[in-house]
Amino acid sequence: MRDNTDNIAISVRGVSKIFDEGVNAFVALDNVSLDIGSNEFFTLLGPSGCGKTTLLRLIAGFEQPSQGQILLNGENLEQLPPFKRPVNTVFQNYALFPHMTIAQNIAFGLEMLGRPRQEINSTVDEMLELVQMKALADRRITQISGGQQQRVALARALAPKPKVLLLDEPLSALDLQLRKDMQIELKRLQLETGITFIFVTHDQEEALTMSDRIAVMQGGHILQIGSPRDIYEHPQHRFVAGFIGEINLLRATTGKATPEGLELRLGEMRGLEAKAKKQVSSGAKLTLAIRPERILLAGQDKEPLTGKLTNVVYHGTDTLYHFDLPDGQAMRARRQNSDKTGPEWKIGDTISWSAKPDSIAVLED
Amino acid sequence: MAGRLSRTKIRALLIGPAAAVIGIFVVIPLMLMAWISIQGRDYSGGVIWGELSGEAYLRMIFERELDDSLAVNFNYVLIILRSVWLSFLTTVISLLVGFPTALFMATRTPKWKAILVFMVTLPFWTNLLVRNYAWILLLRDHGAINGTLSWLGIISEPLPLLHTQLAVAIGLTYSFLPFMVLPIYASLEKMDLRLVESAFDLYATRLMTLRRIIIPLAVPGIVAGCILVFVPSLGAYVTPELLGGGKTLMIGNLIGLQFGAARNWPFGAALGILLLALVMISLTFYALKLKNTGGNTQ
Repeated sequence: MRDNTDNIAISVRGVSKIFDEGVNAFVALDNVSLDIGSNEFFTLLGPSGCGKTTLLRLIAGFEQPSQGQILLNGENLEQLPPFKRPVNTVFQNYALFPHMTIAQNIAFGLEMLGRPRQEINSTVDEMLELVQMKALADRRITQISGGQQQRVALARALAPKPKVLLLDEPLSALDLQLRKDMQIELKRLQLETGITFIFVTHDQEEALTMSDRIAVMQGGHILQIGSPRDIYEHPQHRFVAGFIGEINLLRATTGKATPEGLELRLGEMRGLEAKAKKQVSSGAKLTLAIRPERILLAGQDKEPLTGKLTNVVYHGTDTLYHFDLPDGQAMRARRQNSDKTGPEWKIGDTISWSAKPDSIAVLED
Repeated sequence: MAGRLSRTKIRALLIGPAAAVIGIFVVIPLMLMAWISIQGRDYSGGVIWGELSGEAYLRMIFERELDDSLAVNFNYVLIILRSVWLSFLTTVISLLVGFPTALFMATRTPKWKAILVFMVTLPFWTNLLVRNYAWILLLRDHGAINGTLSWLGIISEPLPLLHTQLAVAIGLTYSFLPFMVLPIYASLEKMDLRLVESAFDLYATRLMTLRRIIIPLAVPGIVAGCILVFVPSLGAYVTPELLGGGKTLMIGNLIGLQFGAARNWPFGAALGILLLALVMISLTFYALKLKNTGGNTQ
């Protein structure tokens, strides 16, 4: 959490949301708290049903929290209907008004706020410029492509200059190339406008590339909040480690304490050390997480740990090596193809490997 | 060559049944009606076949005096205008009642939607005549409405409800309301409710959302509903007969009279053609309106 309370745009305090009270009750959010700074690109990441969209709808005002409060710049939003909140939403399927032109769609929010015509026209022009849609201003929504609709939805939501912009999986309907372009575009818009963006997605790559901070959610809880690097490098939770990127999860037992931290044993095999954050007694069972690209592979007997190759998959920029540990656990290691003549290891070969202590995360289950 | 010939035959066979249905049920009756309208009148009923006459059309506006001169007679024009007025009134009342109903229905859960659509269509399961008689029981001097009002002490004399234009308008509204509700429901039901959320999100109040988003998107349904109520109201026969008590004639009753007691088939047929023309005009209006709105909701 952030310390500087002056720069907090949205503060979610102990919010729960329960749908269908009684026998069919479903807890969508369970006592969630978080602070989102102004000018921050904040992402709510999680699988479907984790509560991320519910949290977004609570901030927008489409739903009311069962418990807790949501504050915008320190002001309680409770009882404020959506049309009185200085918050705008980009909907998953854009929800553009089909009976209006692009310019009319963008002008709608400003008209509802009762802005003078002249101001509306100049803001609409400015927004069309911002999303590079000036030439199509008088087209109908039905006459433009999905990517263009996406831009119009953004322009429409940005036109009233909201304090916070909510984005509900806005890129999920676009094809891969367009999605990548829009990721860059969104980040540019956020930097140019200085508006707080709260972005909901289930796509971990999207979250990593755009966000200032990410909150990983599961089952109505926030598991971890941190910068993309933080979340990727130091997952604190088994689910977070598995959900973001590729990772090896290994059952291990603790050995004795070392100067580096903690010795770990994989079955009978020794030679792995982790930085222990808290005291763990010797012989305790725990789960390790190591990213495939952080594993150092070498020929037989060069590194302290061993494995037997079960599969080699060539990916162009890198090669993925699948191997089994002596105790039967399966692992994967990724190796950059930085020169043409890489090692020609074959399936069935015994290889050796190691990982640096700071590449190993010790997880809570 | 043989293949080509048989394809033509197959086409003829495939189009045949549809063409026959349209021919037998639409084209021939209409031609017959148009033909009868320009035939000479047989005073004992029927027409004198082969004797061409424009008398029936003249009769709409003029009356033939004893000395064979034409005098202007607005009685029939009045009935036609009254028909249009009552149909218009019916359409407006149906729209005012039907739109909120359809909006309510379209925003329920799928289970409730099915139940409500069923309930809207329920009156069709009983006879139109019976349903109009039911309104007589409600509207007459000592009927349910007057009875309740005088029991409450609001009125001392019964209100003249039955056999008025209002009674006819109420009866027509009741009869054709489902035709207003269902098309509007259909267009509202396929509307993306996120558009409403989106309008709320963009600072539109409930009233503004209704005016700027919901109603414009329901226009195709509203126009279809208006046509479906206006057209059958214009030709209504049973309702003005029963609830208007023979005092409030509409075109339908006038036509019925010509083929019955008045024994003026050509005039009846000519009035039928006029009714058709009025319907065609309103349908053309509908087509133009659809063209202007782009003809879709998505």
